[in-house]
Amino acid sequence: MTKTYRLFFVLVFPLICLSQEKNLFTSSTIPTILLENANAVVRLDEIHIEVKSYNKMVYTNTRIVTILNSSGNSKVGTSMGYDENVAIKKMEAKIYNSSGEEIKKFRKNDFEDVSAVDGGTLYSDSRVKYMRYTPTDYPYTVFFETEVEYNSTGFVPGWRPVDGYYTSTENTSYKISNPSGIEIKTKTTNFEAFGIEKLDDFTYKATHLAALKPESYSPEFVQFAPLLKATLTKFEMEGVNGSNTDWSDFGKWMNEALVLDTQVLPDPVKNEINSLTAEAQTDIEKAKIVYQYVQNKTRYISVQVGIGGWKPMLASDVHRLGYGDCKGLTNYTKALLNAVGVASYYTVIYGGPDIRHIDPSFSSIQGNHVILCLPTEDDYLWLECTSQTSPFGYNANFTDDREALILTPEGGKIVRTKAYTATENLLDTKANIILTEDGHIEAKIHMKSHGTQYGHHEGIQMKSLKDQTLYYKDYWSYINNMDILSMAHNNDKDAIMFDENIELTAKKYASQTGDRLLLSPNLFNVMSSVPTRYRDRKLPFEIERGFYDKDDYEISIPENFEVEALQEDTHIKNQFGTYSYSITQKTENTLVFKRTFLLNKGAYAKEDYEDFRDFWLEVVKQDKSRIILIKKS
Amino acid sequence: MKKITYLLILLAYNWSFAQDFRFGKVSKEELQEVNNPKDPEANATILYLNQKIFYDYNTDDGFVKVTEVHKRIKIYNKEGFDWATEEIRVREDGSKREDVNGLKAITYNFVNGKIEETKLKKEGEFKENVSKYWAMEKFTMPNISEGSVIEFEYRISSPYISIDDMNLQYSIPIKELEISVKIPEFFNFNKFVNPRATYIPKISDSQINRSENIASKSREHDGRRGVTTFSTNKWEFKENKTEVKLSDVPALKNEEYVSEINTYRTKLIWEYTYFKDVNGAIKNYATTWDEVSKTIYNNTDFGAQLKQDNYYKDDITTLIKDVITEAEKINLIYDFVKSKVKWNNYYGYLAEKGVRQAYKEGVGNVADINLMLTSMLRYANINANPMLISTRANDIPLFPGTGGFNYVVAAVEIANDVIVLDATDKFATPNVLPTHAINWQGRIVRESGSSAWVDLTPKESVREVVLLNAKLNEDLTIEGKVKHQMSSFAAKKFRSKYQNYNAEEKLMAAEKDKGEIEISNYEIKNMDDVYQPVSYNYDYHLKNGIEKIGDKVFITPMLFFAPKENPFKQDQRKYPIDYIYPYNDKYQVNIMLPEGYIVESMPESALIQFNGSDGEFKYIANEKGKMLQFVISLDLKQHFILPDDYAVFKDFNQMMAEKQTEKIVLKKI
Repeated sequence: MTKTYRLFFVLVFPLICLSQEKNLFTSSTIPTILLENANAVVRLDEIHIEVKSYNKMVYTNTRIVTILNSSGNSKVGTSMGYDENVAIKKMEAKIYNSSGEEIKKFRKNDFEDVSAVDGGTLYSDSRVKYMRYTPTDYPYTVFFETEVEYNSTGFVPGWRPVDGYYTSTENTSYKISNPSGIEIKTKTTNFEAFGIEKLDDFTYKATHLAALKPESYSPEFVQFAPLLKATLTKFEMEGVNGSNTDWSDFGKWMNEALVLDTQVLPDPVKNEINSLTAEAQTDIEKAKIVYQYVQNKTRYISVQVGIGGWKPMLASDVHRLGYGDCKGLTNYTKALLNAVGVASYYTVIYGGPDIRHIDPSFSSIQGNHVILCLPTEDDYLWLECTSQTSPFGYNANFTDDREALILTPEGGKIVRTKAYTATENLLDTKANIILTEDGHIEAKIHMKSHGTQYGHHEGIQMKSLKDQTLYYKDYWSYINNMDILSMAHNNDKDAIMFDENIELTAKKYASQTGDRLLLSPNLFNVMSSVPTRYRDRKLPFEIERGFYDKDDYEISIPENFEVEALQEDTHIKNQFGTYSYSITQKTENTLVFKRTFLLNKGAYAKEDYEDFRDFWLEVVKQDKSRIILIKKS
Repeated sequence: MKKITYLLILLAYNWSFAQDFRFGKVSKEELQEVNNPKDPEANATILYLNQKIFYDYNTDDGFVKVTEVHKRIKIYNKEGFDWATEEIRVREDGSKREDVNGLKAITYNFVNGKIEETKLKKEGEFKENVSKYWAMEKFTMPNISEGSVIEFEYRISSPYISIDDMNLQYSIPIKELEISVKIPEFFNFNKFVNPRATYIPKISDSQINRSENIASKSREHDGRRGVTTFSTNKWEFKENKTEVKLSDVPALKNEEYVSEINTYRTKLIWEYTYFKDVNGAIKNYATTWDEVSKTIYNNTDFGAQLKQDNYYKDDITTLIKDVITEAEKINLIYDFVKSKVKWNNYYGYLAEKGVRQAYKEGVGNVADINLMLTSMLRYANINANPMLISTRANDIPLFPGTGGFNYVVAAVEIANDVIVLDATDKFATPNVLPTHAINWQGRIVRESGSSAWVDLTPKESVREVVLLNAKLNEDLTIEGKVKHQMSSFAAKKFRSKYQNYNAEEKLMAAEKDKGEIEISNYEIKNMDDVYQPVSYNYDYHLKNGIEKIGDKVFITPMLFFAPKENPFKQDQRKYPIDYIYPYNDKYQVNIMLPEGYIVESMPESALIQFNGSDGEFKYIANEKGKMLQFVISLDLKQHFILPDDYAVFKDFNQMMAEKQTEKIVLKKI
């Protein structure tokens, strides 16, 4: 009797699983709440990682996704990267129509196999397998199973219970089993807010997570979405053993295993750089010469091979070939600085216009970019070694204001990179304008940009004259009938300031109605778009970088006209920033316009968003406002 | 004596200016040049490009196509560094593989008065296996700095006889270009220069003799023993030689409102037409349009696809059994194919899966779908034929042949009209094709063997009508209603964009860029019925539509529909502007004034024309007490604006923008 009972149990258990899964192949079984804002629903996503030893790990994934419409196709999640140390053991997918009938099957060899090279990379030894499938109808469901064996354990796949915007999750789980006995570290973020259940230290699950939709000014997805990171404390990366208990020892390993042995330079090179820097008085002066030397000598070429693309090219090769990627170029600069006796640190960071941090409290493989850190007496300078034109120590808009990992001889350290404050990011515009009685203008404009705004403006000097002209016509796109008479630029790399002098004319800038001329005195710095309105905002918002705009114009009006109505002065001050606008009469025919707009950096709750919008609305309204001039009778 | 002096001087003169383009003979002058005098803004210049194509012969493989490339490039500044990397695409389809060999590459720099050479080594060469069918051979040059000259040469051996399009123009200028193509008489090619190119090259053709020594081995038996005799025969034949020698080819520079700059590139396009063996027997690829029809109908991936009908017979018979008119049949079958088979985003005029398989799987490429459609229409006794098309990003087909085409649609000939159908796009309707398929003209290939060009340019204006009602309130807010109706291409565009939007997203899209607006009761009509114009309507409340200065009030009749600026900023154009179809946009505006205000001034009615009636902008203003009425319309009959007409067109747009933003002035009483 007992025998039958046990048998029954064994048989039925998998049967229950199957029928449950089968249920998931039918689109009609999706709970209504999960359809809201969703283009795809992850019905089931089970990730299991088995750490067999310090150098072997098996990843298995069972995934069922229902794609609701053509915008959801990218969420099928049926691709897998691999290389020499990552082997795909199993890969299979089945497609079901909305009523749960199987309509297509992909075996491992049916997946497309292509090189995993993105646009900016010349060569990489990584490849990717993906499913090429054209949906015949929506919704459809994809069942995907994969098993991947890693012989490189430096990177342990993490878990994202919510798979990006417009995607809801019905069931998801993550489990690490660890017969190896090696200590495994994990860190979870935003789990409580999403009600993610912890079954034990290495097992988590979540059900019914509604889809999120993007909202402007919201922080990066990873900042508010749930995320689990995992790493082994002892690992092997392509034949090199490592340990990782905290950033200090992990950084030390990176430095010693990946970087240190690549910094040897031939003696003639060392002699050359030493003679070039012989006259320099300070370390900073020496570093400036070295940086200039690297900028003149090299260019950026991305070739990703070996140790998961983490080991830099030899400094001597970079010298000989004159190219390298961010790792190679940074390391080469560091080797040259070593040669002239200036200390610097190889720095791993997330590069990009959006600010993303290396997690200070969790050491693991993170980052997508490498720069060089130059310690000064009480601070650090940051060198972007992939740019041939960037000023020395300029890191705005790409690597500014974020946590980064520096590799010091003592070990890894998390340090925040230079932040550019609102007042540092100054755009100072001065202009002299002559208005004619037909409403035409003739203007001389002088702009000086600093900080982040330097980065926005200096690129113009690379453009052709024709494109420069078009650029200014677009920059002031609201001024029609514009002719650019002259353009002159000066790039002061020492002061990190970009200087533009423009002379232009525009016909009928001021509109004529009868005897009157309507003139908008803010000619050259108009905010015209307002942050999007949300009836019910869900996400907090942030201003990642502040800025400061300052405008001073002098406008001469035609002799035979006088002021009929001016705008009143405006001064606004709130938590987001300050704004002031004033137009005054200096002499009978001269008006003076002054404007300042300072936007603070800051992170705010969603409840403040309406106030933020109102502030912008007021700025936009003021910026466009006009005065009336009338013909003298 | 005098004569001799002259001669000497002449010789010397020539010598000093002749550049040496032999490999390795890079000069100091080339290295010291700081910009290209003919195009000082160029970041780099191809100093010399020599490309030779010829067909090697060996007894084992027969003719093998060889391409030899020799390039010398000057890099003036950092922006030009990208030219130090070369990528060569090679075909690797099973055993038919192209092979790159003989790569020799050197970087030259001018250092301290001396020319310094750096050779490319293996470490700078990479091969990327892109897919099952092709790979990229890449190399990047060492030691590049501003002013470097790089030079490289390589050969590509290919088992493919056909010749790819040859670019004669790049995004940087070329100083000297030499092309030579020698083709044995057995392979017949048509060649053409891209007719849309603005730079026209000179091409010279000639015929030359060639002889090959053919070693043959024969074995005979004289009764007692076998005797092997070796003999060499001289094989003589002719070769057609094409040469192009050009100096100072201008750079191809992109322009705004050019959808595909590549369509204007100067290039030589080759069409492999037939193979004639030594005995004179001809294997046709294509020569005349009749031949093309024949060839293509004989192709199993084309003609055979049209003939099969047993897989759909029953379904179509049922589908049309109660239908009488042709038009109804066409629409029913068209909709049936659209819903039955989905496009896998692959072009081609030949079936990829085959119609039967595509029908079964519900997926196919362009040919699978539209050949199936053609076949079904024929089955229903409709005069349907396939029409070959070259897509917008592709070139225009230049000569009888199939090589220029990459797309096929179904065409129905009724009376004097042709209805063109493309079932790959669910929002397409008869004669409203996806934009990529509208490229000049298509070739209809009839079952009878005849064929003809059909102009694909849409004739009928695409209509959009906006009804805008606005009631101005005393607090200077505005409320009102909007109704916007769109036909054909405009409707198609709207449907594609909004198909996956939920209610909230639609609302936000409607509110976008309209200022401080709040929209309610938003509703779309005929979203799914593609045979009707699509329209939406809504109520709105606008807070910032009125500008108040002193005691005057200003308002633009078109409100948020008024253009912000003239879209055309540049002074001259090199390439045309293509709107794809003619269109007619009309705004009917009714404005009700608030209490206590009267009109001080109104915009005047106006008529602005572009090139006679090619474009006509009408602005009609009417004042009736508290009600103001405006009818503002643009009728653009000419959708293709030539560079010569650009200045006038720009002014036309300028005047239009000014008129559309003109204000009504109200004053308080």
